[in-house]
Amino acid sequence: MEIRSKTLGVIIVIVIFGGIMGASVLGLWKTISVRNPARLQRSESVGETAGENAGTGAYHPADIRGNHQFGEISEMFDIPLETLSRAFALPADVDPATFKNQEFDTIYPEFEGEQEIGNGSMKWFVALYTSLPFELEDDEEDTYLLRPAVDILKSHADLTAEQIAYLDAYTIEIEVESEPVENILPGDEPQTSAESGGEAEVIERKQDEMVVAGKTTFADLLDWGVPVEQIEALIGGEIPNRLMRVYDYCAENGLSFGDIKTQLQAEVDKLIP
Amino acid sequence: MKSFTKNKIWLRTVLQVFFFVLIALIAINHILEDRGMAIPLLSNASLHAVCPFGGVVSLYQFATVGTFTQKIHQSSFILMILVFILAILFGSVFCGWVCPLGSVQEWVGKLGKRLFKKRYNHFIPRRIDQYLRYLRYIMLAWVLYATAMTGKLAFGDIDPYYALFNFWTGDVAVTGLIVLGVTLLVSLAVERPWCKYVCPYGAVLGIFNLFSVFSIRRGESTCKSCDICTRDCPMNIPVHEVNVVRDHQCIGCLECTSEAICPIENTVVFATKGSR
Repeated sequence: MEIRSKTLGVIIVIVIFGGIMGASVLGLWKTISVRNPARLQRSESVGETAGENAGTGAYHPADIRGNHQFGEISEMFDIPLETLSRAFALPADVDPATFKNQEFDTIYPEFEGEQEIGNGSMKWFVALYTSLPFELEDDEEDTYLLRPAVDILKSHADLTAEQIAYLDAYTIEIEVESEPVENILPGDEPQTSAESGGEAEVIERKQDEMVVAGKTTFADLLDWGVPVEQIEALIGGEIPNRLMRVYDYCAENGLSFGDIKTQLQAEVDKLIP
Repeated sequence: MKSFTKNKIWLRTVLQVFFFVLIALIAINHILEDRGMAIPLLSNASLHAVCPFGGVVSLYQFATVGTFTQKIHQSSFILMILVFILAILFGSVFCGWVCPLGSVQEWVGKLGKRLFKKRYNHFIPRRIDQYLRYLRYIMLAWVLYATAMTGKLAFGDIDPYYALFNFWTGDVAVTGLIVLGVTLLVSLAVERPWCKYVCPYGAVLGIFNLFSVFSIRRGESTCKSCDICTRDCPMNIPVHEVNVVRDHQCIGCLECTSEAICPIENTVVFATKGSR
């Protein structure tokens, strides 16, 4: 059997696009990673804690775009502007009402790389804060929140233990000289931008790479120089596969990732000159 | 005997341009999506999500842990399977008809042909070239090993394909830009240098050439041994010396066939066993 170029070209197109269409129909064509949807989706709590937003016609956090301003998000989701400003540690010279999500990289230059605060962080924060249903999706990096945002969520939102563990794993530690979190929650008198921004908010990353987080694998720890014996002593067993995430190992073995993470980070920190 | 003028495999050119533009638009849309300006009806997937080689490098991790390598998604696996189906049937046609990086090298090579005339694509002595062709298997072994050990895209920082479509984003490692630049520069003298000597995905697909259902076949009885098929082969395969091209470097471009350069009708064809 002989085949001519036109036939071959048509077959190539049919196989590729037909295959993609077939995979789409079967729900197999996924160009983004949907992480732990069952763990992160909070549809069961919709209407219980989300206030008015949980009702018909509420905005969906997934609709938040990079060009949305903090002021718009505050109105859409009924979140005090000051809370947003504090959660994302906006500097004093930035007007929170007009600040856009896509401008995060202008104030967090040191976060470029694996740890990043972006539009996904805002979606995630809003979803947890309002208890609106949302599947955390990200096609490139894991979604992090700053420490103030995590503290606000822990104090205000109705989080599950798994969500708290996830937040702990994806927190960027920063130092903020500010009011306690309780003072900026709904119901309290909001601070002015000048008041909140007056503090010097120094953002520090511990190290570029050597931070134990939710996506850290055993291979990462070994690459950083943590002895295999030390790791196995902390996790209470042998490393099943160096490519496995520590977070997944803890989840599978009923361990507290927060505790293990803290201990592992201590070991990692010993290796930092 | 037909006239001794080369006929263009025009559909191949059309598909090469189509896939190049498609991937370029997807790469642009991926950035626009982040800024809330995505082009409707066009995928905004990351380049990694539409690269079938991502599926290959994730195989080990998927088999042992059940997860994908960082930045790789299920779509990469689907594409890997689809391209493997094509490869089982037709060999490395993905390289010759679809891969945008291969196409770009080919287009740059057209300029090289004008510059170097008959010397183009014949600079490297065959005795050296034949060994260099296996470098890409060393590259493949390294990429698979490093990715399996780290769970990260070991190839990412030197990938000229990623650099080609993202050089304007500032998200490309300097090494990637250097590799892309060198590849394009060498393409002026050597046709598809990346494909020939380095490409790990080409190495994978090249294995399928050894047993694919269809392959380039030469009719010995009608062949005049003019060797024009060999001279026109972008991959420098000595087509006129064999009856069946089972070379791991063949990209299935059909440029050597009677449909294109071979002056004798039905002498060099893309066919199954027993048709000659």
